[in-house]
Amino acid sequence: MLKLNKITKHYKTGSSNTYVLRNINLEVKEGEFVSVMGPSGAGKSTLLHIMGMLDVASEGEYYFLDNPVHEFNDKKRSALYKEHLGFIFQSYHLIDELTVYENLETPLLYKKVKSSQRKSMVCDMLDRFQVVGKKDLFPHQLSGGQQQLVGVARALISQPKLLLADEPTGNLHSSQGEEIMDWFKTLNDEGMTIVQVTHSEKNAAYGGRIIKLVDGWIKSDG
Amino acid sequence: MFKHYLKIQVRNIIKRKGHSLINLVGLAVGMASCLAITVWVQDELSYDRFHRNSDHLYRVWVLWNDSGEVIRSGLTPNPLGAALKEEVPEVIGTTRYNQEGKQFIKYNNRSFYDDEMALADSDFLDMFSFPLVRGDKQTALADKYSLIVSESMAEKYFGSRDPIGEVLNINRQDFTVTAVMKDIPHNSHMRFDCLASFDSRPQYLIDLTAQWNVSAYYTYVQLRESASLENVTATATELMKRNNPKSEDAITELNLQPIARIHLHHDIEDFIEGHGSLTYVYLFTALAALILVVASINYMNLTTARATERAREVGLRKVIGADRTGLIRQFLGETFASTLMAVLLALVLVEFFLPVLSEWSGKQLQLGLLSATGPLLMTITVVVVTTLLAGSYPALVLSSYMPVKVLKGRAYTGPSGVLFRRILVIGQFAASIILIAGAFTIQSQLNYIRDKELGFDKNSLIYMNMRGDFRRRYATIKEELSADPSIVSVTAGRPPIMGYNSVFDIRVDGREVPDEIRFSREAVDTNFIETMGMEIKSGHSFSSANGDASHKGFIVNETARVLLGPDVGVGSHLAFSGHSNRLDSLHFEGNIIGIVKDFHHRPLRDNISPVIMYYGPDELYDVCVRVVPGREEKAITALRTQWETHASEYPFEYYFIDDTIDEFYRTEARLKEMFGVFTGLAILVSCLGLIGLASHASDRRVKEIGIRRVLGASISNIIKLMSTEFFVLVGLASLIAIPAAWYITGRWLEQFVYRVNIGWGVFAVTVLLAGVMAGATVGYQAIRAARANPIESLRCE
Repeated sequence: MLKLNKITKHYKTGSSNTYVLRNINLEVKEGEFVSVMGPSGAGKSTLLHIMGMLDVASEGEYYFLDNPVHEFNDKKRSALYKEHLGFIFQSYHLIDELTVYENLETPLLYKKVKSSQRKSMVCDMLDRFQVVGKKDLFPHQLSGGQQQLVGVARALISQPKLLLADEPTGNLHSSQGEEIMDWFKTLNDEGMTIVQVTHSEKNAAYGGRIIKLVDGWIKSDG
Repeated sequence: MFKHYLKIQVRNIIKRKGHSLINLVGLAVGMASCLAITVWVQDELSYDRFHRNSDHLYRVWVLWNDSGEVIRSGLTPNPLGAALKEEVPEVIGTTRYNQEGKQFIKYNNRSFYDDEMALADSDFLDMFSFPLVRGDKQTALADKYSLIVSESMAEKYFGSRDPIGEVLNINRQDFTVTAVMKDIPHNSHMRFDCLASFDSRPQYLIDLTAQWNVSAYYTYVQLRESASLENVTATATELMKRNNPKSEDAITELNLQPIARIHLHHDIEDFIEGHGSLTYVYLFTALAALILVVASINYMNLTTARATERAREVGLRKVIGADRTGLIRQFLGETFASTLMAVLLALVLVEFFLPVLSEWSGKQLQLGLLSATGPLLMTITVVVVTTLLAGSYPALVLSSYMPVKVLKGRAYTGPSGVLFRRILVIGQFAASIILIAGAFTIQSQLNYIRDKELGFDKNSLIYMNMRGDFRRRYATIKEELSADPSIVSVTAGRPPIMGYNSVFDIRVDGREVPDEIRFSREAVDTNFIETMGMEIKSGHSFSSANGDASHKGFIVNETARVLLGPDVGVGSHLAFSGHSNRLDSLHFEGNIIGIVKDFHHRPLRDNISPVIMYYGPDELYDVCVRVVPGREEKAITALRTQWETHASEYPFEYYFIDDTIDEFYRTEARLKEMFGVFTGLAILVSCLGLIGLASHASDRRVKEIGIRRVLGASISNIIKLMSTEFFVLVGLASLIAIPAAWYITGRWLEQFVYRVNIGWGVFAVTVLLAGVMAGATVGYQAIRAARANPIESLRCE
């Protein structure tokens, strides 16, 4: 599904470069559930962002479904992204001014899905994640777990091929976290490819493959 | 999608009611002011353009260059028009024209004195577009004593009756109504309620003005479309010289002035009241532009400042699939929608405001957005420009960030953005300071004019035109009135600042005085100097208290004495000529018996002119009454009783000199009022902008303030932290604005001969005022931010 070749990311600090990622070589196959682990500052999130096309690498090649993403411009990247990716954040990142229903609807608007179809897709998602009763509430009226559930639903609504999650349970109680992880497991069983960043060994165990990052290097993979 | 954007926008507006309101009202008020001024300016520019032929209509004027003195006069010889039409093929129509002013009109035993009459030849109706509602254009002015009345005048005199054929008695002459015309639009330089054929003038005037050597009337011509102005001017000048040999001596040139220029270009002497002024048109256009710029700057500032708060939303939208075009469309769309709302609000405001403005300016102003291209174009331009400028920052800058950057926290506003905003604030404050200084200058100049020592006492002084037996029995009436306890004294003679009679061929002690100095002569009663409160510098007045022969001779003002020659003084012999009321030649001779302190003889914009006064009982047309202050009403009753005894056939009319003086400065006074109001609005808009920015700044720094407070900062530390920046900006703005204001106000004052000195005090006060305004607006926000409980602000993070 995706392939990273010698990916490096660095920032300029004064006259020298600070490296966040160094020479990352990585391949993720369809249907995999990968967990990225490592101490703070190891470059986990940056790696995820580059995979998710929210950020670009300083050097190296990135192929997504055989597309050379590193050669793409902003517009092409965003088109590819829109088609195939779903993203979930630690702090949910729902749009405050929109209701649950509207938050779910927004990605479909950007994909120019027809109104009637949109409606049924949103309702499906509301049903599936059992938040039908909350559809007219605003994000701040929900608990953290419920917000993250809406976050997951929003990531899934455009039927992505790859789901990226950046510490999805980091802000949640353990029982709420478990619920989200159970969902991930179910989704993976249904064939969804998932890459998550996590601090928790327990959460990492949900996935079949664990990548450990230290100081921007891959320390272990498997 | 559109619905989605709209929803977001409406919720954002509701969420931040205060900000949204400030933003909206600021732009709306600014636009409304600008629109209102545009309407006024457009009206000023529209004068005399309603005539179908307006591009081909000209007023003839004469340039006299008589040994150095250049006179540009609108008055032309009586036979000129007819001769032009006959001899210059390009001229296809001509008319003489004269405004006779208010007339005594009698109808059915009722008399009126408020309708103005003008005289014109029969080409007039073909040349100018004053449409008739009744009567025939070809014959309406053909006969002597035929009269065209306006619709409202017809209504006033005849009600529902048919006006055609009715007879009005105007100045004891019967006129027959031949036609009814539509009322004259307010944007016409010609003003009259009724129009009579030119031949209706009294016979003595016709005789007097028959020749080429007397210029007493205006001549208008209509040229062929293809006519060359130079050819016509050259032929006309030649014609003038041929027929008026005397004018050969002087360099005489006939010129044509397009009628559309008459209202605003007041460079030709005429007697048309209510001329506009190009200076004011420019001044107000600049003001309108300034207000609009200030309002738009605010709007952009606030919108871009607020946009950074939405950086997270932008990042989020990118994550869930928005591309740049979508985001750009969203932000530009939002800005467009709110600009549009502001425009609508502005239009509502203008509708409310225009009646007030109409009253101020004495016009009937209408927005007419659909008919007038100016305001419409301006509105569209404003919407487009503000939308692009205010919307492009969030649209282009925010949408260009990598989503992770903006997601990670509050948006990064680059130093260039902050610098840009600071420059805008400086510009805006500089504009406010210039406006305040301008308002101050106008105010103090007008007060100065009002309070300037006129050389006579303008207060409690009534004057009236004497008519009928009142004038013939003046001596008796004067005696009776003087006995009234409410009256101090009674005299006759033209009150100062009302105009002048020209004088020529002056000789002093046998020596000729150069002709280019225009002296004025005034016939007065013996106690004129005393009643007016003028001051004799040397010699004595005409008063009989100074001896029986004291009323023989002349009294001149100081300016006249200086201009007559260095050794001239009391006792010098003076001889000169002038024209009588009926244009007969008069000769005067005698000794100077007194010098009077200079007094203002014409409006203050002119220099003090040299005046020669003499006792002339046959030339007294005005009575001046000095009243005991506070007893004006009783004095007027006494005057009315006398009037009704001696001149009951004329309406009783009186004027206070100080009112009349104020009237001269009405344009300036209106200007002052309008300028004051618009300045106030501009400053209001500026302050709104500042409030918005300050509250945005304090919102943005809530956490910083909280931390500082926890670390031990006092409230005053915080206020200082929050407001220093704004004060520095105001200081910088002052540095830019003061020289500019100094230059601009100086230029405006140049047109006045007597003008105030604008000292540093005014600028100091202005800057202080701007500082106080900034302090008040920013300070409030700073105090609010500083006093908030820091725990509150830190907890939410």
